[in-house]
Amino acid sequence: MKDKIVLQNLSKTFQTESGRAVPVLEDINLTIRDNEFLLVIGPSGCGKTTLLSCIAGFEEPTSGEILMDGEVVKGPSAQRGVVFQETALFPWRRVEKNVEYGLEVRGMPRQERKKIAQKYLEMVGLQDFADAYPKELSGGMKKRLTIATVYANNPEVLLMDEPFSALDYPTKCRLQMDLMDLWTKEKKTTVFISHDVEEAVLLSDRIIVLNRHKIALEYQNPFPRPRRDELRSDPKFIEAKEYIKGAYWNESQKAQ
Amino acid sequence: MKARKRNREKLLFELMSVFLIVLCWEGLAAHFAKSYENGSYLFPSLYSVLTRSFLNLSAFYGMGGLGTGNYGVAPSAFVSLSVIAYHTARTFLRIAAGFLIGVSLGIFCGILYKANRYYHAFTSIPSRIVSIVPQMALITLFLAWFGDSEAGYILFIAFGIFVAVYINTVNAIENLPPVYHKFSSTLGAGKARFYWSVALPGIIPELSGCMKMIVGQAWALSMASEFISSQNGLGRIIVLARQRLDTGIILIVLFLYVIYTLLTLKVLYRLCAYLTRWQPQMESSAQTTNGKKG
Repeated sequence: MKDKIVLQNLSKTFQTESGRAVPVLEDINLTIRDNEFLLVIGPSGCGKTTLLSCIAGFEEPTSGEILMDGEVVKGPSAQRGVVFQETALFPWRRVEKNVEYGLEVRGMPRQERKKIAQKYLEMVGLQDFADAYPKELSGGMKKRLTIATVYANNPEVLLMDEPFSALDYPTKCRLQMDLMDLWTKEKKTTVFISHDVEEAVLLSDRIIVLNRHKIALEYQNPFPRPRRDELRSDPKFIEAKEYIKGAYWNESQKAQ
Repeated sequence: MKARKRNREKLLFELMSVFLIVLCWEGLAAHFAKSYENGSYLFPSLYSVLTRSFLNLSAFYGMGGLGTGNYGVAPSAFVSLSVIAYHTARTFLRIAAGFLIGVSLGIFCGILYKANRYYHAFTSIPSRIVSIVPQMALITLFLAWFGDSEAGYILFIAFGIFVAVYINTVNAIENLPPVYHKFSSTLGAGKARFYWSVALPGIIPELSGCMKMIVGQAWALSMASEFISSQNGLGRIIVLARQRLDTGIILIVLFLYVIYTLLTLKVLYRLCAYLTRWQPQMESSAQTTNGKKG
């Protein structure tokens, strides 16, 4: 598998208003392979959202560089679709029109846009809500719509910043399965940020634990795909969770 | 049941207040008529307003374009209504034109201010100055530049509207959730596309509030310009009525202004409600929190 995204000596420092430099990422070296599902986990303030922002092109690294397909990432691009933690849908556009947005920007003809939008709405189970406004959807449905919107635009890389963190547990579990189904049908290089260890082990090919601005642990997920809900109660799954939790909490305690 | 009783009580108090106002008015009118020469003209009774002053409007038939030069028309309800209709139309068309120009330019320039750093830097200080200058003081400037012309009145109204819309557009764009810009950029939208397809529809709710405020301002600006110079319009009628000491006509025109402003607001409210139909409604405590689909 080829290298899709390469982070070389990536560091990011923010300046406070008083002029103090606050390091958020220090000398991160990471390679993300094509079609790999990488999950980044860590305590609050460890720099995982900043890492995602740098890959997305929203933030410029203080030093080092990020390469995608060998080219330096210089800003946001349709090639790196992002599912944000907060709801980013356009509330004045109906459900189907939200999914069509990226395709409209590209100048795709109307019939073709509609066809693609309908396809992805069916994939996320929202085909009956095509004419609804986002205000009529529940939180879980809005997340599915956002994922459909990003997927419909066919980015090469999918970046997801704690997309399910605000949802209740049953809805989150359902969406995790929906995402797995969608990702299995249309694989994309994915970087998923989370603070949920169970989610990390369930979804990922590889887990990176970030702490104190650096990569504290790298864990290759041993569980084969496809993974179903029943895996959550598998003893080996629980063991893996405990292992990650141990590393995660040890690092958290060190941070404190 | 309680709500209906409270509404009935509220209506009763409102009707009582109107009745008291009418009573006080008639009392004052009677006092003025008795105590002062021309007192009935200075403070006319409501009956006199609806009869004598209403018919006196016919005297303006020859003025400002309607039946030009024909000042000898016999007073009648039909002629008075024609006068009201004609001058209402003149005033309304000025306001409509000024409103459309002011709103369009205000939104366009507000977006440009946020989108283009050179425009932003270039217009930052003039914007601040213009927002502070009292609008009414600019009438004489517009008259000097444009003379007694429709263009002058329309541009004066447009300018007043433009300033309010411009400031509100800039604020509304600043208040847009930053995630909209990020999301649109990851879907391939450039700057121009973002402002056209995301910022513009996104600021409509906040601008709706501004529109409702500037409707009254538009009517006021038009009245002010017609006071000073115009040969027609409702403001001109007020000026001439004052010269004739016919306060009743002034009251009629002011009453019309109130009705027209309320009607315009009603239309605007409906338009704004349609344009913001996608906005989530505030839930009342009686509604379930999980009333959404799915």
